[in-house]
Amino acid sequence: MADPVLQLSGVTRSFGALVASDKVDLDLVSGEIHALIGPNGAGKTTLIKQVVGEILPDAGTIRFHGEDITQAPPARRALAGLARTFQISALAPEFSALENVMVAVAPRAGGVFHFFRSAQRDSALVQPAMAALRRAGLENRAHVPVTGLSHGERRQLEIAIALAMQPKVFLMDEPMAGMGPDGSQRLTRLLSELKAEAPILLVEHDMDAVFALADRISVMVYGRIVATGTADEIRTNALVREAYLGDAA
Amino acid sequence: MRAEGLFTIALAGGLLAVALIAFAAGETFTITLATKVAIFAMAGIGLNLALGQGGLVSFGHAAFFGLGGYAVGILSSHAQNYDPLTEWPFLIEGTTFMPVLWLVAVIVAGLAALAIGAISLRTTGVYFIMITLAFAQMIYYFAISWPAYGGEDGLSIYVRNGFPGVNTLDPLSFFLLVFAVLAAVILLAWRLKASRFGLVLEAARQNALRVTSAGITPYRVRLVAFVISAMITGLAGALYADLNRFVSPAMLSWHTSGEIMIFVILGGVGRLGGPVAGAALFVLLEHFLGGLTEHWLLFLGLALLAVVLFARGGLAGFVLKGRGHG
Repeated sequence: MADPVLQLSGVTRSFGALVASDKVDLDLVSGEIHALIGPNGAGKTTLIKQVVGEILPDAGTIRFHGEDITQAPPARRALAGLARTFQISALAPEFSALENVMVAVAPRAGGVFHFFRSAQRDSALVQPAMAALRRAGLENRAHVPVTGLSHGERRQLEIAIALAMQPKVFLMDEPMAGMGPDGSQRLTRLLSELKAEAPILLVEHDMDAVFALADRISVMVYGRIVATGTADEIRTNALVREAYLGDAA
Repeated sequence: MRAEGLFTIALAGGLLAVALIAFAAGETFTITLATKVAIFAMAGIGLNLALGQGGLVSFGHAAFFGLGGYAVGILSSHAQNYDPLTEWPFLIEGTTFMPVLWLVAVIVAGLAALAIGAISLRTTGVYFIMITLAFAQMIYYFAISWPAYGGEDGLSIYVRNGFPGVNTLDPLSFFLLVFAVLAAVILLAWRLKASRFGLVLEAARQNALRVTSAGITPYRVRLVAFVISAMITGLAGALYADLNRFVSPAMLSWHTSGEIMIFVILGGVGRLGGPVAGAALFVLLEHFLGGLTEHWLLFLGLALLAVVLFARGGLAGFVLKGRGHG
């Protein structure tokens, strides 16, 4: 197996008596979709937050392209290419879809400290933003304010923003959440294309999508990774069936 | 943006027209009122950058307004008394030359904002409001207790400072000078709002987490906005000192911070022309209602209440209705 792009070793974080991440070892190699599944409250989002730097682990290390980023500030990690999509869409509600993506383009196209030139006429900003919207299938909705976008479109916009970040890794926290069957299928197709560009760490509850997409699956229960393997291995793993799939499958 | 631009031009044009008509009618006092509106509008535009675009509710902008005023007062009083500011390590003399006074006022306000903002911007919400208020009050009490520059009594500027080619003692000429500065400030605010920086600043207000996860540190963006905001308000303070030919600690007090905030809220938070409308309404209420009753602040309070309850976007929002910020 190639060198991992993202590697977590022994990552531990507790909130009082609750151990949200318990010595988590997890890696992501290029070209793959690595799904992280587990019951609600298992600590999946907490783990993502540690990868992006929103919270810091108590112990363990996080390496990105071999570099230790365990303590790096969130903005630096994002600039290095860790692109996160949020479980609950986190957008600038007063802005149009295009403007939301432009914000993500700015730090990668000359920085944010440009005071006089009109951002709307800045092709270094608008063109990459439009390209990202096009790939996410939102081209026709570019000028619609976020408040006018449907739930599914907001999920697509999350993806467009991540695309505009020239990502080296996608961290997707339930991108399918609340999408209809059509939307889920379209997104499944998009994700299977994207993984060639940058590997995806995918937190998802939609098991159809997970088993269709994931090259590897890790199962998290009570902050611990109880199993990692291919879709078939996970499906047949007794421990997993008992802990998680038992009632779901 | 376009409707907002027209609204702003109309307001500024209206202000200019009022001053010119007053001049034709020989109403000097009205010209002074118009000058006051222009200066207050400028102070509000400064705050609006932090408060409106940035969502940074500064309750300490009197600090920058007052520092701008004191920069002018101190430098010109030294010049008028032929008493250099300092002779060591090298000679610094006062000046009555407005461009230099403005520059000093802007720099002083900017440096103060850099220090105050660097600390205050580590907090948010109510804490930010309180800490900016605390800093402003520190400067206020410092000014009161510093007898060299008038202390509680303030500091007079015997003759209005000069600007090359303009007779600043003539009310209309001084108004036109202030108006030209206001126009430049509006232009600057308009460019800033449409720029990349403005985009990111507004995004950070709407969703700081999103901006961070795009690779931008909101703190830096906000600090720069806070400094520019203070510089504009400081420039307004400098002009206010020359309008009144007097500076006093009142310019630094929390009442002033509140008034600047009222200009912004009455006019429309985050709107380009908002502070111009707000300042005009404030001065009108102060003048006409203040002439009828000394309890005019009660009516100001009612107006503010009406805006907050029924017209969230202030006067600008009311006129522009559904036309969005973008």
